Amino acid sequence: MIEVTVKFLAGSREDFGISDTTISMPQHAVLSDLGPYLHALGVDQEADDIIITLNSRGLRQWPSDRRFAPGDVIAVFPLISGG
Amino acid sequence: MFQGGYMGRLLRIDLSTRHYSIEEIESEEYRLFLGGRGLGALWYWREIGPEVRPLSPENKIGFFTGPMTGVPLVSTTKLQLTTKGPETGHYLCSNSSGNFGPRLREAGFDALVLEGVSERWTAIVVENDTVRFIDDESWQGTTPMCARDRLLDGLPGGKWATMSVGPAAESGVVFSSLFVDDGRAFGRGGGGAVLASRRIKALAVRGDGSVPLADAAKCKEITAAARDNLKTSRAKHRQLGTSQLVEIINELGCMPTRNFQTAWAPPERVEGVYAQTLHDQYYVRNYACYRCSVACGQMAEVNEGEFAGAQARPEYESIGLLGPSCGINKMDAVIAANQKCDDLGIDTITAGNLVALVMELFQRGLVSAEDNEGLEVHFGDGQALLYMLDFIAERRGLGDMIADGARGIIQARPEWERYILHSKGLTFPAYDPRGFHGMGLSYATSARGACHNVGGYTVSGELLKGKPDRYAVEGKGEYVKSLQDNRAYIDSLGLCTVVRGAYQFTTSPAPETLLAITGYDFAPHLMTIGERISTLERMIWVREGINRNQDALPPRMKEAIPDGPAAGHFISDEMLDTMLDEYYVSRGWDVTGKPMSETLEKLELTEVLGLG
Repeated sequence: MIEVTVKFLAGSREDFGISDTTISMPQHAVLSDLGPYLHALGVDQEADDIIITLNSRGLRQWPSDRRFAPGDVIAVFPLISGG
Repeated sequence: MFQGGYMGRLLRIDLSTRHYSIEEIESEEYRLFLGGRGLGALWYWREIGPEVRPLSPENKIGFFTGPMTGVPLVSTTKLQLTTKGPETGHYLCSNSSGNFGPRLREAGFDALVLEGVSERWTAIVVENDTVRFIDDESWQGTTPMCARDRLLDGLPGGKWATMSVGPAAESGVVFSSLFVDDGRAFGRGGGGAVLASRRIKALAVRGDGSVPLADAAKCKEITAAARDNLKTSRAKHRQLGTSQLVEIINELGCMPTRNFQTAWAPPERVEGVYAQTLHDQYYVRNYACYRCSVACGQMAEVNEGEFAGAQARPEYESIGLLGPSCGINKMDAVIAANQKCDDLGIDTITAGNLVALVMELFQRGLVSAEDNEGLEVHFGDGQALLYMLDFIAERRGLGDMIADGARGIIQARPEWERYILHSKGLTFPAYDPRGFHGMGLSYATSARGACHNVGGYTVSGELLKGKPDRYAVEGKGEYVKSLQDNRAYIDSLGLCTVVRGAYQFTTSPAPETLLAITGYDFAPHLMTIGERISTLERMIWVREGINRNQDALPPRMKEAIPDGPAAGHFISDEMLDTMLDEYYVSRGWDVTGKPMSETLEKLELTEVLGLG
């Protein structure tokens, strides 16, 4: 199994009631396998108002068959603009 | 052509003679330029020549509303300022929320132009079709809020809106702001200094009219739908405000840190200025602009410690540049610095940038306390930050040079340019473009110098959503052009950009809103109007001698970010050239960045600009 850290940033901490956790994924899990694991945390990967990154890059910037590796960090945060 | 949405009149005030006149604005100008920023650019082209210097008597300052300003829909608050700005020495467009735009429309005007110079320090009062002056030399040196309060004390009751400047504007600080009502501002570019150079301390406006609407019933429907949309789509903005971006942008490795020496700090060294800290320890209440149901502003107050009593409304940009970029991890110090900027009347973005510059100069031993009236200014020192802000407004110590902005500093000390983050003299907002390269193109090509808004807000796309790829250079030209044109028409509507989605003012805009207000179907033309405005603004810059050579990024952008999630990334000259080449092609500009004649013809600009 591979341990992947999931961090909830800014307003997402209150929304999901958690600041960080780890999920255990099978040895050969790839990015396209992520959805159900996030769903179990209450996170809808397709929601318009949420941004999800893997190692500080948007999920769309990674190939869907990218394998998870030790030390990977998923971040979840609200879509905010302006300032 | 239009059944509503426009008052059709411009109020021109000659400050030298104290005469004023009312002029008609032609429908064709609305059709081509919509309002706001677009009308302002056209006015600038016609009335402010390349020979005019920003703080000279020949400069003028104009304020322009859009067809949505002051109409009974959500967040119809925006007013545009247009002038030759002292921070870049060239064209300045700037927008502010607040009540001034709506009240100007109630007085019967779409635009207000000030020219000449008053003999005495004065305030201008516009009430419907009348203009009067209140002279009072004792207003000099007062804060913008104090000037506002004193002006309102002398006026009869009614729904007045105000603008006012602070002591920094009177000192000619080139990044002094112009404040609207009790807390919004035309922040960037030095509009406050231009107004003060005319000896105007404040303005007030009210009126008894209202903006005509083509279909008032439909406007009510649209308002209800927009409110419903915003309850969910902008709930996060209300909850914690834009300050949430501090944590997010740092996590993504693009947070200016210690004057952009890096773009990230470990969470324990930046969490003191997170949104959660602001909310848990300093939050007082939300506040809203004119007719806004989002209320994204967060009023904050410090109740104890060395900065007790400080009050401000810190937004992301202010926190980023007065906080991490100055090495400060204490929200109370940021709130105090934000309030100091407001009291002095200076732009928090440039102030943060240039105090961070001073801190780096101390760090490198390039200046000492002897150069600065005995004051040492080091990263992380909140009290020194506050003192330095005073030094800038009072032109003391290093503050005298800093008050002249990036261009002034480089002129005096060219060897310091490598430490100054700017494009065309306007300092960087709180995003390090080495971590998402489209933002570099935005800064380099923005119509007012480095700006994340006018230049195209690539944060949501390339940085947050990851589309396009943040580190790619190919494809960024067309991408940034589209964002810029979208923003140019939004800035011409009179609407706050935060709520644009509720009306579907996207790159494929929906027709209902403007049809209900004006009776004219603008929607199919809005992106073309945006492109027309962008190209006109470029023609202004070209006329003032600016070309590809100035579409540049500062030397630090060529250095790799040393650590954090974007470590190793930079923007080389070659990378910027690739983006510029693509950008110019997409715009129909030649390789020097000058719009080609066929582009001007296609955008119906040739005749309007008198180039036929």
